[in-house]
Amino acid sequence: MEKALLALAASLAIGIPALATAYAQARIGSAGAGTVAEKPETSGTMIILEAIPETIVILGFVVAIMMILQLA
Amino acid sequence: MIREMMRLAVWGLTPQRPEVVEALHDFGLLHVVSPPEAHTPSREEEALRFTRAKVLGMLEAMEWKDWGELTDEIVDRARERVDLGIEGVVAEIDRSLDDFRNRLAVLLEERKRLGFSLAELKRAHQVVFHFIPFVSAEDRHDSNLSLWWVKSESVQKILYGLRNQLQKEEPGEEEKEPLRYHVLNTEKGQSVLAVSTALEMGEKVGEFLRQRGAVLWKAPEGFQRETAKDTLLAVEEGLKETNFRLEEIAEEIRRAREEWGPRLASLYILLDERLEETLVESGSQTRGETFLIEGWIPSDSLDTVISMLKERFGDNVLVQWRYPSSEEWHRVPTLLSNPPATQPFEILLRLMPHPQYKGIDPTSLVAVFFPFFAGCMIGDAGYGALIAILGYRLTQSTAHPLLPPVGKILLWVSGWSVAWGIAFGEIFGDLGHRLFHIRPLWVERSHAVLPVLIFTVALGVAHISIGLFMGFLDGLRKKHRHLWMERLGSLIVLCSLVGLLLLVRLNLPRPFFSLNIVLLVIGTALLLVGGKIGGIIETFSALGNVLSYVRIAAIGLSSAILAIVATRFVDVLGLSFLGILMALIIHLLNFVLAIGGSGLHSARLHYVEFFSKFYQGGGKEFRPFTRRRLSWKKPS
Repeated sequence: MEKALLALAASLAIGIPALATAYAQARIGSAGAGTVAEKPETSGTMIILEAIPETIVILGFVVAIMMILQLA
Repeated sequence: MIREMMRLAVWGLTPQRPEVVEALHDFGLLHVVSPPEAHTPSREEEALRFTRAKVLGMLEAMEWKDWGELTDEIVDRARERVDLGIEGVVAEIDRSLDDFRNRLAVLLEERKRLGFSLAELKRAHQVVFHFIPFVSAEDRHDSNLSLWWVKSESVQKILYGLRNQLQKEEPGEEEKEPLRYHVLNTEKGQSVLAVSTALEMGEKVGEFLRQRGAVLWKAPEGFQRETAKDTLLAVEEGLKETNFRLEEIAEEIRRAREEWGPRLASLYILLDERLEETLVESGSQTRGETFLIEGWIPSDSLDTVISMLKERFGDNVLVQWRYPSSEEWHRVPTLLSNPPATQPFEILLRLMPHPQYKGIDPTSLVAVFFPFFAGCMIGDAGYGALIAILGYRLTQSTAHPLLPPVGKILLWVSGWSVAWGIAFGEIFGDLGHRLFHIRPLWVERSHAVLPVLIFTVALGVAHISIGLFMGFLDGLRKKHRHLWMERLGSLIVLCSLVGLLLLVRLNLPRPFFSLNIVLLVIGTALLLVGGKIGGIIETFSALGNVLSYVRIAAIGLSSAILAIVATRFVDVLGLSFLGILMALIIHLLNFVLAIGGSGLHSARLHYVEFFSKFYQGGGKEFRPFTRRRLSWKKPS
């Protein structure tokens, strides 16, 4: 039972941030595409803005790995 | 590296100004600075702009797009023949262009008109083609044949009503069918109805159909004939003739494009160059009988320019130069200069604001870390070899000026991919292990996740520390006390925290603990003095940045597992066509993801995590006053 809960927690640790990041990137991406169309020189800034929410998935990944290592 | 600049002032006699400007244009080394006063365009400037726009318009009308194939030789040949500096030449060219443009306009207008006509004829032909057998059969002297537009839904109702009407009019003739018809259903719920009746019933049929909303079908103007059959034949003939004439026009325009396209494009370049010279001339300062042109020049090119000016104009020009003062640094243009090996990485900086003159050019550091990170993420010798082939092909490509530098970057990435592939023992996933029993030199990352995670965090600490150290040096150089104290404080706090972590993990002796605590206190003090609360927050952000480097391991792990999954398809489906095909498809997907993902995330680690520690954009790009060469691009 404990192992099952750990596995569930690990999947939630990466799954929820992944969903949140996907939502944030979708919003940033659509706004960014519009901005770059009007001002191509902002493409660098837009890539940075698009990439910022990914950090939360990376942190979720680290937490999930820690939990899976507990399982092993 | 950012090239050192010098302020150059060229004095000369006003009558010689055009020659001096032309010489500076030939040298192509001076970034000209014009005074900020409002500029009123001269008559020559306006004429040049007008003619240049006319030439560009003609090139577009001819659909000439081969700017990339315009060689220096073609432009130089045009330069030898045309001297735009002579008075009246531009006006004469303008008149010649008008003649050519008028002839071109006639052709283009005819093509446009025929294009519309062709579209109409094609629509009519659809009807013609369908009704030819019916019309041929019904084309008799005692019958009336006509074609009508009707709504598809009311065809049956109309035919029923029309038949009843005709039977009422001629009740005796039962042995002969009074109404013969044929229907063509077209798009948008419309149908074409062909009806054939006795000749004397023609008017009544027309009246009946009009009352029910039908509209008489007509061939396009110019193709209407007395009988339906003749009309249909005229449409067919007209379609053939229009197509033939359009092909003739296309051929004439193609010939004109091939013959005149490169010449007009060369003329456009000459006009553009002459306009630039005129702008520099009018932007120069005039003081009595002398003029002054000022600008920025790379310090190592100074001797060349002075000797060339002296050789051409002797003592008729006076040249002065000086280093920029610190108050001027923000106005000095920035010119990056890196060795050929690292130069391709300059394209990664184009997505960022241009570096400041006294800022730091991070190209060399990017050249070291970007392929290292990307290679670590890919971590597969097989993929590395494929990337090397792709990179080599791109370096040879001339399709786009960006492709060769991208190819060179890929070659660097491929080198590190192979190196990391050997460290992780991966050749197309576990294929190397299966076929050749290859063992990892370091760890198998799909199984030993933790060592790779720890390594990437250590990599993050090193990379961020370098960034903070660069920021510290930048602050010292610019004598920006708050900046260097904050960066140094962050660096010391980061090092002390890493030291404390190692202390706990490795059970180091107690004096190390005291040393780290002292460092932590010193670092915090520097942060508070340098950046106050903002400095502390900045340090927390640096710790977050360090953790962000875990993505190298995360993406690498997913890539490794996907490669193993691809090979497993052969296990599941056997050494069959389907098994090999599935394995290849997954490997191809993984390869594309590996290139795209590794490049994007390596770039992000630099842009967000690394550059934020020291990089300051907002500089002006060095744009020398030069003639256009093969780096020429299509004008926007």
